[in-house]
Amino acid sequence: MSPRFFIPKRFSFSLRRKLLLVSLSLFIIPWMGFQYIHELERHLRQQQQEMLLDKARLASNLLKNEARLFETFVDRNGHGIADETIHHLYIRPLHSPIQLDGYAEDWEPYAERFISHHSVNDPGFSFSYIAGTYREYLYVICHVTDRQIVYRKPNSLKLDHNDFIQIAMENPQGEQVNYIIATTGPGWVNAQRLSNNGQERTSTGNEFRIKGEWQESDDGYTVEFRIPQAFIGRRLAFSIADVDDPQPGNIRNRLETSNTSSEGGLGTVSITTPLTEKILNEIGHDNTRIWITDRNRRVLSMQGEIAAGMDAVATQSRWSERMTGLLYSSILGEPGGAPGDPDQNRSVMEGDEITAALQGRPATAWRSLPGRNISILSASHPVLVDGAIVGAVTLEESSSKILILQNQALQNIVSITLIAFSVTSLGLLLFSSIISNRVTRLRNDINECIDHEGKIVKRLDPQNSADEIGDLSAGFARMLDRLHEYNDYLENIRGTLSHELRTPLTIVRSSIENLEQALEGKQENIYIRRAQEGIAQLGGILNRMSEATRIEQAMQHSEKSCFDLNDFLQRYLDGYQGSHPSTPLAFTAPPQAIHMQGIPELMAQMLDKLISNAADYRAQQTPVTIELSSHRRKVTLRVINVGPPLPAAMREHIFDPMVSQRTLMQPQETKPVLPEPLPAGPQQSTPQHATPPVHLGLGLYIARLICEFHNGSIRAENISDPERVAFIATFRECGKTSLY
Amino acid sequence: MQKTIVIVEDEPAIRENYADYLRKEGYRVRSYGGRDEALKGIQGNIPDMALLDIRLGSDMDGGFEICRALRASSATIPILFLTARDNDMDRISGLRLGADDYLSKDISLAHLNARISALFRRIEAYTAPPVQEQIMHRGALALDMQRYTARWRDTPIDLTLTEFWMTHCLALHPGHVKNREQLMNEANTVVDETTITSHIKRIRSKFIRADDAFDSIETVYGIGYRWLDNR
Repeated sequence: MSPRFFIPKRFSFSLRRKLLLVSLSLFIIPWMGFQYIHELERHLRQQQQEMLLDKARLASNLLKNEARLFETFVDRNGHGIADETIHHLYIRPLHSPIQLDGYAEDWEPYAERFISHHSVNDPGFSFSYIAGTYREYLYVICHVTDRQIVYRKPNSLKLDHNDFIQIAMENPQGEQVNYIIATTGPGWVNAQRLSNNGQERTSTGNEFRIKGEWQESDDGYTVEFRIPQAFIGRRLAFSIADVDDPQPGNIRNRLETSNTSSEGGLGTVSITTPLTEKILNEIGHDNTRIWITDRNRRVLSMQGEIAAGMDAVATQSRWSERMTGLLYSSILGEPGGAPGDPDQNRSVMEGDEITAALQGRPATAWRSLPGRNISILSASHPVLVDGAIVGAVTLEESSSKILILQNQALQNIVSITLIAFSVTSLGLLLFSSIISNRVTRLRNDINECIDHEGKIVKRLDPQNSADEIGDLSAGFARMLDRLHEYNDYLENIRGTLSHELRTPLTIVRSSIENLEQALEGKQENIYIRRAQEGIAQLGGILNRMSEATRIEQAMQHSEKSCFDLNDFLQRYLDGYQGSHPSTPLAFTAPPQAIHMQGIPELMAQMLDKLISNAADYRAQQTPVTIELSSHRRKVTLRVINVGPPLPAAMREHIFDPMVSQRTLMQPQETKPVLPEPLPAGPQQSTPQHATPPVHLGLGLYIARLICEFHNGSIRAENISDPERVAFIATFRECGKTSLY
Repeated sequence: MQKTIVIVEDEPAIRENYADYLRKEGYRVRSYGGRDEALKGIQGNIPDMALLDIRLGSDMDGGFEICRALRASSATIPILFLTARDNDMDRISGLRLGADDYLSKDISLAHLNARISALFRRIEAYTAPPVQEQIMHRGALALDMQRYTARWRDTPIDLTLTEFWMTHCLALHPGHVKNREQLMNEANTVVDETTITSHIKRIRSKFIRADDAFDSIETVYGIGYRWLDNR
């Protein structure tokens, strides 16, 4: 195919990229949307925090008057028990009576309150317990895992040569009292009072008011017992001892809630009293937990349930809302605060907000419950009595992790906005792509219409849309049509010119002939002779000018056939050599037949032009070489002459009509005295005075026409070493070839 | 007896030049510049020969009409067409108007005269059969050198004068290659390669119409053509 004329792709900054850039600015919209969502969420959080903090403030105001509550752990001198390493136990009330039967069914509702202790040394030894108050008693259930249960010998006075439970407390009078439950066997048990002997544990008497049930279980034993609340002062601790060998009676292992050995080491305890319950009822709210702590974070009192069991937003199960939730959490980062799971069994309050409150700054904190859609918001407010901080009150509230999702309407609006934006921007992108494509298509169409010479080879099919691109397309189509008409006109000038010139030429010729006839018999008139020669030349020129047109007509009216180019060339060159003995020819071709679709007579004419051109420009004594080759269905025919190279500018234009090499170069050989008969062009009526014909530069143009008629292409190349010029025509092989 | 030739040509200078020349050759010449003029002129006054330009002024096919009118009156009158364009020759051939020859306006008056003489000789050969027939036989081809007619396997082939001369040139020496120069000389014409090719093509197609196995004219690429005998 002939090379195409391209509109160069100068704009790498294409429409699409420009539109992309502009559309990037559209991303401000979702960005602003995200900012808005952020702000909204932050605002909603702020609001909730402030509200809760307000409630906490109210609560702390109410507590101002309850200074006694906070004095639990202040000694007579007013100094507080400040040591924070002492373990604190907060005991919450039970709502139902407990049967002391050694079985845990009645503790079912409080199952979450189990506190466990594990032995580091002995993984087989651990205990977990719940302590709760009901009426005037403190009930305790204790599961102990113990591989080997050793009971007290019935009559033994030693209480510690067996598995036992020690209860150490400070009574309301401030004295430390120790009890041991060391049973002889499962069943009903009661406590034994211990002497204050420190190490030795011998009974100083039964304490029947501390009583319960001891039952063996699969992995150990369970004890349920109760202690009258009146016994308990500010400190309480439990200690479980594991003895496996009664003989030496060594305590193999011990687990305790706090250090029972030393007085200062016993853990403190807070028990909800009716006083505190009343206070809490006043300031408590639904769905809020309220904690009262002293200066050392010990829980003095606690009440309330937060709806942690349920998800705060009811309908999260819907897929669309789950998706929205994911979307928002990706926008908001880590909504609902850092992960944490505040244990409702705490006896000591941890947390930055507590710390801040105890320093006098009310504070809030968010904790996100992992795996669920809720967070816990806690607000801590210091409690001031007479200007001094005595403790803090903390309110906890559960809340959805993403607050804006709580509001259905808001959620819908934001979602719809996001969807609308996506749709719009997709639509815009699509539209811009379509436009860009149409423009590209227009460019491609235009490229296809023009070939490398600027000749219009195809009509432009305008895009039929009633917009600017359609207009542009139609404009181009009109322009190309006009150009085509003009080009046609220009191309036809040659034909028109030659045609128009024929008539006056005929007039001149016939006049001269008449003149000759009139002068016949009289002396031969040299002027008539010269006129006739001039007329003959003119006629020759006209003929050659119209030759191209005649060949075009011949091409239109002829049918192609599949012929053997190789055989044809052999015969043609034989003939040519015979009629042109002074032009040496050299022919190389492969042995097999090479078929192509075409008209042999036209190929002969093309070869006439090429060979005569090569013969004119060859160096003296060198042959014109014709090479035929075929590779992969492509047939290549080369006509080569030895000679100086073609200038670069020439190489493309040499196949244009009216372009002659002679305008730039002189032919290599000297003009022969007697020119050989011309292969093309008219014979002179008086051959003796033949002059070389004027070169119109049409020979190669005709060669190209014929080549293109055969669906081939032709080009000129310079070869170096030795310097040669090659004219190369390529065609496609046609079907008859056998596969090689 | 003096022969009358009618010339119909719209370009006055050419028309008069032809007329003058032919008069000097001894013919009586009537010349017309347009179709209507010519038709009126020949009505009731048929000439002995007609030289017709095809395009007469704005009338693209004026010459054809005159030809038809003449043929209606006489089947034997020799008619020569003068063509300005080359594709006219194909057209004329295709129309089968019974023209005796079609010539390019390029033709020299001497060559024109040769044809006119030959055509008049042919008429004589028809009206007064010659004492001795001169028929050239080459295989299935028979060329009557006096009547300028050709027969292939006894079927008459309607060749123009130019075509006859070319066929004669080839068939005279079967197997010999004739180049364009030789063909042109024999045909009393000066034309280029392509025109020769189209003449040969027309000759071939006329023979093939009579016998579709005809392939006695062989193209010898690079040189010319030759007649193949005894196929």
